[in-house]
Amino acid sequence: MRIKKSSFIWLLLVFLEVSPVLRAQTDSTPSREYAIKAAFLYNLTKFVDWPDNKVADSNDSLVIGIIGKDSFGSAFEPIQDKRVKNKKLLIKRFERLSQLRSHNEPDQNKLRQSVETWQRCHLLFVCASEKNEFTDILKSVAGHGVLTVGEIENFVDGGGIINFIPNKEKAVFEANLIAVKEARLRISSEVLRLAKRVIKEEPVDSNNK
Amino acid sequence: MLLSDANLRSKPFLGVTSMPLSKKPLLFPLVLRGIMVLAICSKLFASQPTTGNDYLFEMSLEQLIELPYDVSTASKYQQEISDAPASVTVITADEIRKYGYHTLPDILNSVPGFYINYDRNYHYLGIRGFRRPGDYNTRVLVLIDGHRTNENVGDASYIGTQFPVDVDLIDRVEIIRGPGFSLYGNNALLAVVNVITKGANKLQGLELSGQLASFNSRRGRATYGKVFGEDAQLLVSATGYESEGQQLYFKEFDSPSTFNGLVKNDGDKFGNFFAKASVGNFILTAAHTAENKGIPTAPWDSVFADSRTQTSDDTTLIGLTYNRNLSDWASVKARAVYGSYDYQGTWPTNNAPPGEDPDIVLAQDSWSGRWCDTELQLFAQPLENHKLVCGLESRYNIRQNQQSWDEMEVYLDDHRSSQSWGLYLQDEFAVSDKLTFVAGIRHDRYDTFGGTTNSRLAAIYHPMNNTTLKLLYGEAFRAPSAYELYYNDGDYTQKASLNLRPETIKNYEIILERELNKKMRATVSGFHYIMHDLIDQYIDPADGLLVFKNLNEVKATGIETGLEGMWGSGLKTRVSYSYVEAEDDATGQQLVNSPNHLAKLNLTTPILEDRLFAGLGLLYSSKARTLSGNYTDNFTIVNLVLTYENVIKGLEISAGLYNLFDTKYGFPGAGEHVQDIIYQDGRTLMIKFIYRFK
Repeated sequence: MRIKKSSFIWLLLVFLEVSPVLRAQTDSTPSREYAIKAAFLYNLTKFVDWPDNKVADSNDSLVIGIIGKDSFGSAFEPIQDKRVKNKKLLIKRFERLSQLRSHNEPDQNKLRQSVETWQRCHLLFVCASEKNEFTDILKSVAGHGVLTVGEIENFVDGGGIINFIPNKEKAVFEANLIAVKEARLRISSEVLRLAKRVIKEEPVDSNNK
Repeated sequence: MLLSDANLRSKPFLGVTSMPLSKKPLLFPLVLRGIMVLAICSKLFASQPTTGNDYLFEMSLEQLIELPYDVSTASKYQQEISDAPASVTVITADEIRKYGYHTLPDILNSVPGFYINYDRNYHYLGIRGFRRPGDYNTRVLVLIDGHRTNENVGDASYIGTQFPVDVDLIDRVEIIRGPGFSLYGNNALLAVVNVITKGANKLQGLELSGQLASFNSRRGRATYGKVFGEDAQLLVSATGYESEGQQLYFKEFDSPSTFNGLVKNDGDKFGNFFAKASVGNFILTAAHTAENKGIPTAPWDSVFADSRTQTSDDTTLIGLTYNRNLSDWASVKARAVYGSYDYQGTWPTNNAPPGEDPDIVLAQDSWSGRWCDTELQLFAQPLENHKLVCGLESRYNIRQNQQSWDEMEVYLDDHRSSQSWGLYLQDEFAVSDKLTFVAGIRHDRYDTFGGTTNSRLAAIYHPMNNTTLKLLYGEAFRAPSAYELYYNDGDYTQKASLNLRPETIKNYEIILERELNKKMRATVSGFHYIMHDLIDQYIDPADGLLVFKNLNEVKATGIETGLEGMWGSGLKTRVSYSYVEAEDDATGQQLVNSPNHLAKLNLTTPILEDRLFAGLGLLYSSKARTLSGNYTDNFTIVNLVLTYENVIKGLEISAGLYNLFDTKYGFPGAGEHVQDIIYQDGRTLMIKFIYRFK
């Protein structure tokens, strides 16, 4: 098959058209799992009502906090500046609790400040890296109207509100209605009916307060 | 598969006759121009760079929780379709249901560039212009949950009623068009089809299904799934099917002594059992099907309209997979599989010389295979931008037996066993955010022919976040099968072919994919492949005996274009067009049974709220040449399916009309057929219900 000269010109044009412009690497491309989870969190906020005092305090932003080793990368980029419930979305990232604790400060200033910021988040996402610390995290934000979402086994049993059950295949989640009530939140039943498991009654073991 | 001693098989396999060389237009410039136009258009319409995942933010929670995390076949680990170094198509259980695909051939018939043939015995898959009459799906690798299903006597894969998984138990089918790219070994020449089955988490409780269709076809299924806590689940299912078949007419047999061409021997029946269990990191998949089909076409010179003419195919597959994360950046997978295949064919044959009273003997042949596969695969990402996969696969063919006999004599009784192993390594190197290179190599050793090494190279480039350009090169091989190596009838008409080399393919492909406005994906691709050393039968002039030899070279060039998308109000469409020219390299002749144009449209839309769905399928195929030099007609087939969910709680009913316009169409017959063209069914109806107990 002889290649004509015109084909060479086309081929050259194609290469010029797509010639790589190496840009500075910012966040890495997220895996599909975290792209889906990010979309889920964004969508979820539309179905949640926060208590009135939280709404008043938050100065026009809806804060999503992410604690721990974060695999989201640039997953939230497309919605950086979108508005939900008339508030601008703000993504805040926090280091792992174990790292916060390891800073050798006498008064644990950094830890205290982080906890205060967590309490002001609307949604707090607890990454899988916090599997040994999540109960402490949940305790520290209890009563501050924070929608806690995790991806750790037993997260909802430990008082978390929504949890992505660790799963290789797709986003399967469970919910804890008691925790919803304690945080004085309201979550639409449209969300709850999609959950694989919903904790409704008081768990027998009440050591999770 | 039987050679009667009364007749030599004299029809040449590629149907090469003495027609003049055809004029071939240069295809590559066309492909390049198409890609250029698409690239320019996409630049024109591009606004700001947007991530490829934008469309996810438009989806509802309900939709998001249904999305699978991985397209795992193309590189044997989790990957986005746009990052996979191949042309990938994924068909989900939801699409299977809404488009009314009731068998695996229906599903595969919707893939761009694929075409399904049926000869009233088996279903055959044509890929990118290649499916010669007489080929038994040996050049496509069919997997169930990653385990090979190609049997080990003829290396054939059986996708019709012999396939051991009920279509309702399929979670999704992942299809790679093009060579299996050195990760898969034998048979992955033209495509890899991985059928991934549902686990109990998708089918909890008891589910019953019943189906009635034309020609007194009945099918029933019972499935039970249970999830035990977080760590274990079990699914068991059984399906039974029986079809009386219709009376058929074959003009080739239209004479008073052969019932004026009428025959009623198209009955089909099978029993299937399936189980899938997972405990911790282990997944066990077990499937068994025993199937039996009456054959009305009277192939292999068998007596016309003798109801004893039939084939039976029994398949068993038991596969165990173990997956484990070793650390944040490494994981291991181990697999062990046991497979078995038993085929038997019965061909009443008239041994009397012409003019004398018939002397009918019951000629029979059988294949019996048992095999055991193991694989160990390691995935590691030791550096941020290097993903490594390496693995070792081994195959032990416990038994590869072929037999043929009739009441008077045993013509063939061959018993074999053999081994092979393969070692592969692949690196995916992310040079930058936008550019990734993939390089892979695999070496296989067979104790029949020695070794073969095959490699793959790919460059995947994202000029913008919603556009992907892939440049691919791949090699693959097909080892000579036990049938090709050892079949003989005692050197009466055919001798064994002991010096066969593997067939090989080299494939060059360029793919441009773009996500248009967040809910649609367009693809244009151009490919060129060359197959060497294709194994065919020929008559050795030295002794007049038939033998298999590495005889032929085929090359093909083509383009595939596709568009899939979701529109408002739940309408989903998938449309594709492909053009291919596949020819025999020595003569320049277009291949037999290689239609140039294929166009497909599938759409599904909700009609009534969210409970009633309509699915429309349209398939166009241009004409194909037959073995005797004629052509089948162009045809268009339309299917219409209505699905009604939750008629009452837990009950789903669907009804489908297939070949809605009663189009008459057919496929080229093979060397064993008297028929030049084998015509297919007209309009048929199917009604199905599924009831879930909760």
